[in-house]
Amino acid sequence: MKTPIPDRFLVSAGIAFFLIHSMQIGIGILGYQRDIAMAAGYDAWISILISGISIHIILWMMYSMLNKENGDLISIHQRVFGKWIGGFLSTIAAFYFFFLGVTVLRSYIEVLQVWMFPEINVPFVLGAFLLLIYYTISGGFRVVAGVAFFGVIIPSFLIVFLFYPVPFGELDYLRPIMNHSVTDLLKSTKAATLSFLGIEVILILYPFLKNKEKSQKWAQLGVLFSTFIYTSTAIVTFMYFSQTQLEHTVWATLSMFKIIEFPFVERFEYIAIATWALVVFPNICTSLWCASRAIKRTYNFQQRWVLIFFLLTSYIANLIFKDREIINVFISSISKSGFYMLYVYTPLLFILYHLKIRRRHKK
Amino acid sequence: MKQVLSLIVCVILLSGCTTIEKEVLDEIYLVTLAGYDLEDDKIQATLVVPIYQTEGTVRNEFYTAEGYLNQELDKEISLQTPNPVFPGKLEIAMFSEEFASKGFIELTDVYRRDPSISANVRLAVYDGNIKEFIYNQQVQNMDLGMHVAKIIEQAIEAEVLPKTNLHLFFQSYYGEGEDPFLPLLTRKNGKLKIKGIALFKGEKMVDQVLDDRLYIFGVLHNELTKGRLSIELPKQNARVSIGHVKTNKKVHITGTSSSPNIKLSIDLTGTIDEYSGGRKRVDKNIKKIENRVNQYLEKETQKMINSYQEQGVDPFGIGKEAKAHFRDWDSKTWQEIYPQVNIQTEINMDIVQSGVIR
Amino acid sequence: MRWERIVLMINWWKKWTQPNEQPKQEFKSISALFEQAKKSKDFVHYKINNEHGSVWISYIKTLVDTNMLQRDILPTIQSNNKQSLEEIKGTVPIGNVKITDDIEEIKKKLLGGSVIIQVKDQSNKCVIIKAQSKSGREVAAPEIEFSVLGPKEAFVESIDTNLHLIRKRIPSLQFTVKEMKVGTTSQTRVAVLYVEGIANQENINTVLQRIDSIDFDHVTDSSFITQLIADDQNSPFPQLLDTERPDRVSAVLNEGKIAFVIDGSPQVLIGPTNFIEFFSSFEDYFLNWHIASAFRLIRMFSVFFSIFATPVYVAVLTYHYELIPKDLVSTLVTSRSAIPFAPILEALILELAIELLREAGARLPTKVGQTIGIVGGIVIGTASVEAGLTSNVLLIIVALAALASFTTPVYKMGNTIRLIRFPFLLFAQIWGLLGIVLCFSFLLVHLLRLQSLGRPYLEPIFPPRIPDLKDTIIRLPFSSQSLRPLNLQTESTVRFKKKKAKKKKDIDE
Repeated sequence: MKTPIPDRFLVSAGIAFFLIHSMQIGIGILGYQRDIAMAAGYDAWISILISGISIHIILWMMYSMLNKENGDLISIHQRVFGKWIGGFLSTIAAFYFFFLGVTVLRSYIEVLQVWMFPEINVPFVLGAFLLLIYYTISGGFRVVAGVAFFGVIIPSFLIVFLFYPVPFGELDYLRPIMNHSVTDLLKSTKAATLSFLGIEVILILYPFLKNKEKSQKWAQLGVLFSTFIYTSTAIVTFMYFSQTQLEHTVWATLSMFKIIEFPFVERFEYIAIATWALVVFPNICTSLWCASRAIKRTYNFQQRWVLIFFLLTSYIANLIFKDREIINVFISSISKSGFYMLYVYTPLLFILYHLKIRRRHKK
Repeated sequence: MKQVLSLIVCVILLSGCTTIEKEVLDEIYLVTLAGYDLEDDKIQATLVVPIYQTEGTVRNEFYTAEGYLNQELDKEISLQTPNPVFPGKLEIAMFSEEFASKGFIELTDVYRRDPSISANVRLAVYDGNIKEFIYNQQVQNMDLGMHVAKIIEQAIEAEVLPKTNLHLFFQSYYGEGEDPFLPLLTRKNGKLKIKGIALFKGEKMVDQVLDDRLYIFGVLHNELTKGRLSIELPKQNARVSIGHVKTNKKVHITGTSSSPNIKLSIDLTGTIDEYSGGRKRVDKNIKKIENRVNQYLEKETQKMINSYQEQGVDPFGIGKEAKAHFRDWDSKTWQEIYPQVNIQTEINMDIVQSGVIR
Repeated sequence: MRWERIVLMINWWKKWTQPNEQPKQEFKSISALFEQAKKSKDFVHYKINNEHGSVWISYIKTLVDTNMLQRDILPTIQSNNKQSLEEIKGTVPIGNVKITDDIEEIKKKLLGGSVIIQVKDQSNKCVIIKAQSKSGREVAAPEIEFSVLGPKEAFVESIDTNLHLIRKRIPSLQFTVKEMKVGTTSQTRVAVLYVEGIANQENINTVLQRIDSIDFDHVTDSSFITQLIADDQNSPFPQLLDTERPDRVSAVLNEGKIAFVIDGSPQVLIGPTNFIEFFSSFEDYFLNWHIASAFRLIRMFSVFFSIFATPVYVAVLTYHYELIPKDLVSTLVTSRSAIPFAPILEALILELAIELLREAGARLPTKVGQTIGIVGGIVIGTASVEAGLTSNVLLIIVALAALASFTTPVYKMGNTIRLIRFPFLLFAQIWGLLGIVLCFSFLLVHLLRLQSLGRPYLEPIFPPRIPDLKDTIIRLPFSSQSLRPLNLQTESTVRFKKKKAKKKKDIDE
């Protein structure tokens, strides 16, 4: 049933760190602070920690299935649900990855429209991005992994500037700590998990890693690093903005970059937005690669044509849906389905899978 | 085939290039100063645009418009200028005192939301008519906006004024238990001068701190490292000038959120820079000088805080400190009790050096 | 009538579209071969009579060392009183003498500068004596990869001299030379060098197989080979490193790389290579590691500077005026206020002017070239600023960027760097800073897709191999260079034994 992937297409286990981390840090980090502070106020950074821990557990569940199966989501689906239902679920998963990529692309173009070029010509930028994505993915998984690697390494200089606004902040805003009810914290945790979406790509790309079992360490480290980035950004943001002020700020991280000034470059957020293309781009590539790979594994189609189909669809979809309302509904339903995929479907699959395995062993 | 394809793509991309509005640096006007007066409930905006001439000199060009909304002002000004006007390099926005006491938050909120405007833009209140000031200013061969901003920056650097900018204004405007303040400017002998600080309650200017009281304000607001205090010592019949090295501010809060006791204890470390009563007597009198300073500062800070309590203004963010302390702090109750809250100050001056000869 | 025309057209089309190969000549006998050769003036074919009969001597005089012919070959043949080929073979005081009747081989040898001796005119059997004349440059100091310190030898056009230069630096039996012939008409000798037991067998096979599959008529230089066996022939990036320094070749052979020497070319190719290696000069190894690392960092910086400086200027001035520091605004506006062109046009004009100067300087003889450079640089630059065609700020940027691009030690990579800033300029004009990042992403993906002899081009950055970073952007001291690069997957990984860490001595002990 399974043919092992030739060695020259594999990437080393350490790359799992970059793949996972780059999937988690995307467009969300530019403005997640307002959403998570809705319920738990300035205690919301605790919620990030909580959701970070829950992500670690989910990732562990995924790995425990993958290690046993030594395959990917498609083979797990087939084992648990059989050929037809399994194939159906895999298709849904593929489309989920596809929509994930599309929303990230759409949101980034929106950031560009708001912050840099209000009258940017969307069809052309979109075209250029999709061309770039096609060029990347057609180079195979190694190139996708390479892009993920550079998408973490190159923009990492921005982390230093994250702490630049601290002198303008007030530590008092964070106090008193734990002044919100547990339900509020959990509500914020739900909002925070939306930023952590993306670890599900491991379900598809797992067979492409060398030292598969060892890679869990790196993947978990990737999650840990994302949690660190999200938490520290949230803390700096909460110090920088007073609470009502944050409610009026949509892209809090970008607004924070506005304060950074250097003798050689005065407005740092422009550099950050442009560099963000390098953060967003691997994100889209990985999801679209996963989407096309999942379809290929399920139906044995040529991945190249699946990819072209997906790219064309996303191009057309992006052009047709210009209405902000529809886009917002779409984006929030994608993140919701991501939430359910992680917290409902994954544990369910985990239980079902292990029951199935155990039953087979008893036989 | 591949080459042809990529060529086509290039052509498409190129034809796309006409779609973004270009803002070529030398073909636009950059506003560096925006002044807003109130003329019979209409807003009167005066914009200053530096014109850089080929010989290397700068000339300031002024444009005035009247209207109710920012957009209207923009439109009217664009009718007067040869190049499109952009706000991305705005240095300072000034509001007349009359305008400030009526509130200008809608206008500044436009600034806050405009991504091309820096968070470091200075805001200031001007005592007088700004249009008149701009049209009669005597700054030669210098960008007026940068000039005014530098006056404020220099004062912040020297810790005469506390840090202010667009972001910090909104931080304390929106923040619970604190009120914003802005530098207050005026004109003296035809030159711009810092008059003090304009205090706001919510969005409206209610009071001002004059420049001779700025030191007291500074001691209460930030942890000074450069401030300088000179006071009279009646017993020694001398004057002494003390420079700061370090300030340590602590807020002790006791009681309950409905009847809190707040004590601001401020430890100052300083050096005697000048003493008019003879060098020899300095060393003997250090303790006395310290006591005198403590007494004086305690009295003055107490006076300042009490007067703000009466007006219900909280530029020092005492409410914010209380909020950080009490879990059941509530904005509304605080506003009610604030004038009656028992706030005390305790100053502890420590003079570490006196004999350093410069 | 019409049909005929159509048929004619079809025939014409067929004639043009179908490859028309020159028929390969097969010679039935040696006399037929000579008959063909005689059509050329420089073919010599004559009879010598000695006491016992006649001997036929034939050679191409422009290929044969006449000294050798007259000093060693002719006297022996003339004084020789034996007639058989074996006797001639035994008495000629030259090694490498062969008797054969294989016409194909005779043809090859004849064209390779050998003297053919027959005893009987019609017989196909003959003696082949190698008497190739060797003319060419003397070994001289390197010009392209000049270094202040270190050896002052550079390769020349002769493959044997070049092999000698390398071989004498690697006195080892493991050092292997594999020779092949490439090019249907040129029959160029290509030698593949590697050190057995170090170089990865897979790499060697890849190289041999790729050279073997070259189908080309006339291979004149090593750069032909680079282009013919490159992994991606549509990439502007060189995928094999070329060098003219024998010391560099011998050093990398010891690292486990493979070198190819091509006859007629003073450039030796090295592979598999990676992107970073193109920015390392061999002089780096002659200097202290701190200094060498600093120079490498400067070189890397200058690459980035030369690619990004002008595009960033265009992007910022066209779209992002907010970024410009307030104190710089007046300088920029003043310098640009009289200029009628958009920043992109201004930049393109200046960049093209610089490219013109460079190209003119490269085509002209050295001394004139220098003058042109100075005259062009100073006169045109100043004049264009004064005429108000370009701004002086941009002039500084463009000149610095050009200067920075010269720091790249490998000429081919320098050319690439020169070229790739034009797409960046274009993208900067279209989308400002975003365009630069987009173009950078395209470049990045392209580099990620590239391979050099099947090994990733961006190694050791991606795939990240931390131990290999010891000799890339910075060069660590020799003591930490004890292992060969992981990327090459060498068969023996240890270069030398790392000295046992010296026990830290106490003060004054």
